[in-house]
Amino acid sequence: MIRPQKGLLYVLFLTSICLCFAFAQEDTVRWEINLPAATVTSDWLNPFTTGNAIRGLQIEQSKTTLADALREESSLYLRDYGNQQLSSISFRGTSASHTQVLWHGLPVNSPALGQSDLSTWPIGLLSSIALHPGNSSSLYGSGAIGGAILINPSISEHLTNDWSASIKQGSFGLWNGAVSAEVLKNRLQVITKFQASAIQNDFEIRSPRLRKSIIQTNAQVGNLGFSQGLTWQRNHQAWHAQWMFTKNDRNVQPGITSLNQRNKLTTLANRSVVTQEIHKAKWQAKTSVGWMLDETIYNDSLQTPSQVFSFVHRSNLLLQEQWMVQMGGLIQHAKIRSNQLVSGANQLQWEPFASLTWYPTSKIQLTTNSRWLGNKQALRWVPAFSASYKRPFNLPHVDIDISLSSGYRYPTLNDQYWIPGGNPNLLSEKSRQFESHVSWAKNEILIGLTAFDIYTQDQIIWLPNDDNIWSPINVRSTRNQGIEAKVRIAKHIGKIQHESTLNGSWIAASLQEEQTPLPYVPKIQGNWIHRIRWNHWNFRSHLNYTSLRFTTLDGLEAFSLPQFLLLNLTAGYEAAAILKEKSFVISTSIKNATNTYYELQSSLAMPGINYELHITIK
Amino acid sequence: MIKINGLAFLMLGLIIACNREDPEPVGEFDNGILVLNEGAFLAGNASVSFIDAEGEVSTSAFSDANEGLALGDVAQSMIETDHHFIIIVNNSNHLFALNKSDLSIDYAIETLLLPRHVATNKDTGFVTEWVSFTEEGRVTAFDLSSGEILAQQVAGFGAEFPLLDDGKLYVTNSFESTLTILDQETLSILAEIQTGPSPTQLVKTDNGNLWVVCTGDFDENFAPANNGVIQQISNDEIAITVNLNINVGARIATERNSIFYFAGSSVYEFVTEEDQINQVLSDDKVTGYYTISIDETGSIYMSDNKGFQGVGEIIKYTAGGLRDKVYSVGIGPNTILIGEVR
Repeated sequence: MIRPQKGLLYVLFLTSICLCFAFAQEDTVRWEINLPAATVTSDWLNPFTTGNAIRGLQIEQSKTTLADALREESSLYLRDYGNQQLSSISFRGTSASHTQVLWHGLPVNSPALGQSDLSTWPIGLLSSIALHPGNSSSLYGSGAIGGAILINPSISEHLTNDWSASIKQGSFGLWNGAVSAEVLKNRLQVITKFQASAIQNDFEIRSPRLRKSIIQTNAQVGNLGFSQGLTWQRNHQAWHAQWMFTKNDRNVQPGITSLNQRNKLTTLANRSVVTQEIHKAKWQAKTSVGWMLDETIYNDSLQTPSQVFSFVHRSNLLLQEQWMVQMGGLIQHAKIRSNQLVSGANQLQWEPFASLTWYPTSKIQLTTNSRWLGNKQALRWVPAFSASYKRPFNLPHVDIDISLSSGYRYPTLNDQYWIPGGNPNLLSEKSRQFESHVSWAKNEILIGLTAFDIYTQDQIIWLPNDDNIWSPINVRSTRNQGIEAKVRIAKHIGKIQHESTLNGSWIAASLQEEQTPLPYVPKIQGNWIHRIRWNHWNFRSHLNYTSLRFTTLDGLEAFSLPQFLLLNLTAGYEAAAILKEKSFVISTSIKNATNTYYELQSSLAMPGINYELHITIK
Repeated sequence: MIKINGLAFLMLGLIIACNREDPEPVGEFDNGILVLNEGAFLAGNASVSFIDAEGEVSTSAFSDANEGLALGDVAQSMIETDHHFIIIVNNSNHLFALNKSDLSIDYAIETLLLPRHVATNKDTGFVTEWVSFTEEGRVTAFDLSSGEILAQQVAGFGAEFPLLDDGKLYVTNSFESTLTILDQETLSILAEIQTGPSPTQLVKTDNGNLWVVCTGDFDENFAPANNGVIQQISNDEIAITVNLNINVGARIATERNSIFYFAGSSVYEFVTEEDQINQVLSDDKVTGYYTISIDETGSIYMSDNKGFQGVGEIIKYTAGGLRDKVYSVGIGPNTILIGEVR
């Protein structure tokens, strides 16, 4: 059993102070910070973030889906229901429905489930990805209790003519192809992206729970995606329209003890958005209107179509040089047509918000966010406060942030209207988080340490009722405490460039009353990524450790998934300018090089050692 | 003469010995309680728990006896025959015949489709299968000693529970509220009769009467219709219908001529001879009862599924309905086999 460490925050505080003083002895050069520029940029949210900053992720063409791109982040747990199968994400030991996913600033979690399947987002269709760990409902709205994933958060400022293409082949019948073309003419850019992938998934299962190794069957996956974008810029204005279509066709990977099960799931997504951005010297505004039409089809017969209409507006205003204000609002309406839900199941939510950031000195930033989350049940105020102090006590290279924030999550349409068992009287989930962060950066070394404490109450759990019908109720409270650490070092040794990143997390997540650990939360998780660049060559190793995960609320090892260590190796060669101004990259990867058997979801096997070959022209 | 008499006694002894039925194998599992734990759906963590005479619980009796092998996904039912414990694993489509002495697998049948329950006569087993949610169910007959499939017959939708009586095989069809009656030898269908809503388990009371419990269905708003019934089958017709006025659990138990059933956290006794229903116990500490069993002394064993969020419990109540003992077992305990000596 895990007992939440009540002194955790004190420990972090002391650690922060020690770290500050330790580095204070090293260097006394003043740290110059920049006040927000007089001309605003497309960075819409960073001035108002509380707690951990938004961090962008590099999109690598060698990945296939959004889930693949997030796999190297610590304190994230991707619960894959098999290889290239449904993949949900959890931040900081919270549940998958506590992660909000936004596309162009619009929430895109399924209104039925309140979460997103990241395996259905082809990576080749995305322009940028960013993460914001931590409780941030005041910025992103309902569901952002553990964190948020921001997809294409802003319109690209640099319009060009460009194209790229990539192809990948790998073990178990894996192939993936993606092309992208950007054509610019008279301030109008046309962006077309296409990606298709498939995998047979006939890998060997070597589970100790089977008496012999067997071949995985009935787990084929096909992914198709197309995106058409138009961007027009003139003076201080930019307009962007995008239509994205994705189709994920999969045989639902059966468990290792029921391999002859055959179930098929097709997921279709039609997403459209129109965004306008206005950039003035002291004012910027962004308005997005989105229309999402999703449909899941189970075994070619059970259809669940949903449609979500969203409108969001935000205006950022620079008042004098020390104050920034953001105001706006979100209106979203979701509707599902399904025989499994009460007829006319829908939800309307409206969320006005306002933020204020004050820079009393060049070193200090104070931010407060307020959001009012409203639906037919209630209007709830969700505030957040944070303070950032750069170079505290004249300590060079050191930043400290402290934040206090609250979170909120509406019941999903399934929770309210499922037949049978839906509960229209459910309360929304509520949470609060305290977070502190200290970082030290100098030259090519970065060290960051974050501690968090998230308390969530009225969590919605489905349980069998007296009539043995599964029905959701507000039943439990949880507490998630943890520390995240990151160290990055980049260094040239001779002609060889090394870059090493080590990130890890320790999380104690438990039921508040019973104090038993939450399922599927690894207490310790770590990634070590080492890159070596030499001439045209590129080498990369990625070592991942994930500790034991319980699968029930008892915290019994008998019902747990064992720890595992994974090693992925990649070697690549880049030939520059072989095709006009294009570079040609060929690389090969060995994944799970130690051939470890592991599961991310109970009974669903992940593949052993496998190989990939990538060719990219970019 | 003496020698002859001695030889005669020896021969008589041998004859007597040969005429006796083969003794049933005695193993460590005779002296305790075996519990089948369904496991969480799709998690593949079904298990068998054994509660020994001292009350010690092992939650991995099947895996321990079979080199760590996982039992599978959604263990549905378990019965005891002369030589085997037979376990049905619904979502894994497996039937395991386990040696009674050590729970090792004697044979397995892996070609079933959503199997539910099994009934046996001396040589043959009959397993019901849902097949799918859109096709008619079926019954598969198999050789009890080898597991060889002997015959198959289509039954109704949601073929659920088999019971053998008087050369006939009775099968409840839970999706369509019917009972199919088949010839035990040929599996030919003799009759199909309408029952109450959602028929599940069939039982035979000590006085030889055959009963079926129908759990009840849901109204147009998918709220429980509270129309569960217990029905007596006589001459292949519904002879008596007892309205329970609630929806009830799918598993029942009998003791002499009484039928015990449960709903929510309450247990009821239907005394068939007196046509009377008594509430036996109610326990507000329970999350949700999932199965019931009664031993020779009248003690009542109930399982609490704990919402499938963790391991369940077997709660032993006295015949008077008082809590006696509680054992933590596996996830979703749904079958309790009580040995001879406790």
